[in-house]
Amino acid sequence: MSKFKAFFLIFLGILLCISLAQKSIVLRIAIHSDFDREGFDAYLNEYSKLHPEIKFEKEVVPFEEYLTKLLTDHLAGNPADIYHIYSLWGVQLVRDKILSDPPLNVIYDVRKNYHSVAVRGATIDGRVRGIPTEIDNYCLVYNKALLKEAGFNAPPKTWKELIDMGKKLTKYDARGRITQYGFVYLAGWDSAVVHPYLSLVYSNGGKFLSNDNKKCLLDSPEAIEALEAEVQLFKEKITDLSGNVFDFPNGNIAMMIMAPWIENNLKTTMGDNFKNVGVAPIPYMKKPATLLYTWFFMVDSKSKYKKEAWDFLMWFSSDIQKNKNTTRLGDYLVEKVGAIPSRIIDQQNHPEQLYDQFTKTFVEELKNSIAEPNIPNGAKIKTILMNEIVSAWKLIKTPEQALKDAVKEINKLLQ
Amino acid sequence: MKVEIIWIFLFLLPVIIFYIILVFFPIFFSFFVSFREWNMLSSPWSSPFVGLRNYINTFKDQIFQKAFLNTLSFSLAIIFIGIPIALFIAILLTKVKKNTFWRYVIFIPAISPPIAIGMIWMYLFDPTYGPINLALNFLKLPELEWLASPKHAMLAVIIVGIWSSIGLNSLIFYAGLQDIPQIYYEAGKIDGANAWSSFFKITLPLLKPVTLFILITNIINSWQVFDLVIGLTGQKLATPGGPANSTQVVVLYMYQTAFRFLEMGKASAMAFVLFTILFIFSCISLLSMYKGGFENV
Repeated sequence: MSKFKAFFLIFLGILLCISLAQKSIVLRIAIHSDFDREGFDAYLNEYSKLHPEIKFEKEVVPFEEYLTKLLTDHLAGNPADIYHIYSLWGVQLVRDKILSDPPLNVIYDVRKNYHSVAVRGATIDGRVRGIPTEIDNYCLVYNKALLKEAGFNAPPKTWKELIDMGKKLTKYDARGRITQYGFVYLAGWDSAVVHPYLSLVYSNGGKFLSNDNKKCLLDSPEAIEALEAEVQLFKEKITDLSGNVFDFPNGNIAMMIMAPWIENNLKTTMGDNFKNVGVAPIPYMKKPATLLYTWFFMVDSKSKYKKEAWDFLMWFSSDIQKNKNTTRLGDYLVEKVGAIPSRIIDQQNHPEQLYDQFTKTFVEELKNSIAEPNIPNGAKIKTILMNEIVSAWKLIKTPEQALKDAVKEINKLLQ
Repeated sequence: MKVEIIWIFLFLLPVIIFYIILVFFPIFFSFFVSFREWNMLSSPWSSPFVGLRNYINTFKDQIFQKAFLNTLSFSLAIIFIGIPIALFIAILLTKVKKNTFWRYVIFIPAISPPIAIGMIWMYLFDPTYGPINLALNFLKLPELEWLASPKHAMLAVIIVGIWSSIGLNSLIFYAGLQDIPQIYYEAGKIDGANAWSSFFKITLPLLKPVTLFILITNIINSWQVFDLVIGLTGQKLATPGGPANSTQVVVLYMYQTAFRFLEMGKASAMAFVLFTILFIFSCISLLSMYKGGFENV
C-alpha cells in the first residue's frame, strides 16, 4: 500500500509541474536555403531569451522546392507559421487565402518606412500583405582582369559596346568550342533568362504588360528588338547554352547579368580573386533600366499563433538597434545574405556594405529599376517566356515568332 | 468453414486497407480531381467542376504534345534498340564460361539511382570538356552540343536511357536463355539448322514469355521516365526538361503542371491520359505475343 501511495504522490507531483509550467509556443519558420546564413539562428535565440514562452523551429528548403513545400504543408493542414516568399507567388497565395492579413501597425510601418518599390512588391490587390525583406535588381557583373587583358579599362555602357567587347573577350579552342565566354546566361533558369531580357525591353522603351496587367506587350517592335539584341550574342558566338553564371568564379567568364545576392557566393568561391569582380549598370539600348523583384515575410492564414508571429517579425524588421540605428533584419540581409534591404533606415545606415565595390552599383541602379509585376500564373508565364527566348537564342525561331508565340500563350493566362 | 473465412479476411484486412488507402483512393481521387479546376491551395471538394476541359486542354497543350512525342521516341528507342542490344549481350554472356564478373559489371546501371546516372552523364556530355565529344573529335566525327542544344538534347537522354536499361534486361534474358534445354539446339543441328535458324526458330520463340515481360515492363518504365531527365537537365535552379522543352517528357510535365503551375486538375487529366496510353500499349503487346514459350513447342 505504501508503494501505491508513493507512486500516486509522484504522479500528482508530475501533474502539478505540468500545470504550473509556462505555456510554450513553438513558432515554425520556413525559409529557403539561400536565405539561411550563419547568424539567423542567433536572432531566433535572442528573441526566445526576451520571450521565454516562444521557441522556434526553423525549416530550410532548397529554393527550387520552396513553393512546393509551402503548398504541400498547406494541403497537409500543417503549414509553418512564417514563410519568406517571392512576391511573384503572392497573387495566387492571396487569392487562395493562404496569407493572413497583417495587423494595422504592420501595414502602417511598411507604408511609412520602406522603399516604395518594396512596398509595391508586398502589395497585392491594393493591400500590403507582408513585411518586405530584400530588394533584388540586376546589373552587369564582370571580370576586371579579363577585360584588362583584352585591352578594356571600363565595362560596356551600351549593348552595342557589349557585343563588340564580347567578340574580343571570347576565346575558342582548336575545336571551335568556347573556352572563355564573353558573356553568359543560364538557360533553363527562368529568372536568369527572363529578368535580363525584360531589363533590356525596358531599356529599349518597351513594356512587358499593359497598365491593367491584362495584356502582354512583348510583340511590340521594342521588345522584338531587345530579343534580337540578345540573339546577336549567340550569332556572334560570344556565348552558348553551355555557359553557366555559376561558373563565373572559374575565371573564364568575362561578363554576366546577375542580382546582388550572388556576392557571398563569389566571395566564398573566388577568395582573393574577388577583387577582380566589377559591377556596372546593364548596358542599355536607349536608356538605363533594370528589373527588380522583391521578397516578403508572411504569416500563414492557418497559423495558430498569428499575433506571436507578427510580433516576432516586427521585432526582427522594425525594432531599431540604438547603437547602430539599423534593424536586425537589415543587418542580416546586408552582412550575411548580401542583399539590399527594403527599409529606408537600413539602406541609409549600412554605408560600408551597401556602398562597397560590389553592391554600390546595385543600390545606385534602384533609381532605374522597374518592379516585376505581381500577376497570377506568374511562374507559368515566366516559364513560357523563358522557353520561347531560348528557342530564339538557338535560332530555332526568329525573335518575332518566338515573342508572338509567347504573347499568345501569356495572354490566355492573363485573361 | 465460416470461421475460417472470417480468419482469412482478418489476416487479409491490413493489406486490403493498405491498398484502399495508398492505391485505390489516390486513383479515384485523382480521377475526381481531373474534372475539376483545383490548385491544391483550396479544398478540392469545393473546387469548380469543369467537365472535360482539363482533358481537352491537355490535348491542345503544345508542350504536352511535345512531351508526348519526346516520350514516345524515348520508349520506341528503348524497345527497338535497347531490348535487342540487351538480348545480344545476354547471348554473349552465355558464350563466356566464367561470366560472373561480367554479369556484375553489366548489372551496375540497374542498381544506380537514375538521378546519379543523369548527373554523371551530364558531365560526360559536356560539349567542351566532356569525354564523349573528345572521343568524337579523336575519331574525326562531328561533335554535338548534346544537352546544350534543343536539337541534340533528347538524343542524349535516349542514349542514357538505353544504357541504363540494358543491365536488368540482359540478366532477365540471360536467365531465360539458361532455361532453354540444349536438346532443342541439338535436334536443330541434326536437322541442319545453322546459328541464324537456331536463333530465329528455337531461341526467339522459346524466349517469348521473357520477351513479353521485358517488353511490357520497359514500355511502362520508359513512359514514366522522370528522374533521369531531372538528373540530366535539372542543374542548379534550372527548370528540367530544357533547353526550350526539348527534353520535356510526360511525367515531368505532369509534375511541373501540378506543383509549379498549380494546375492539379490538368495534371490529373494527364495522368489518366498516360494510363490509357500504357494500357493500350500493354494490350497490344499481350495480344501480339500471347502465343509462345514452351507450351507451344
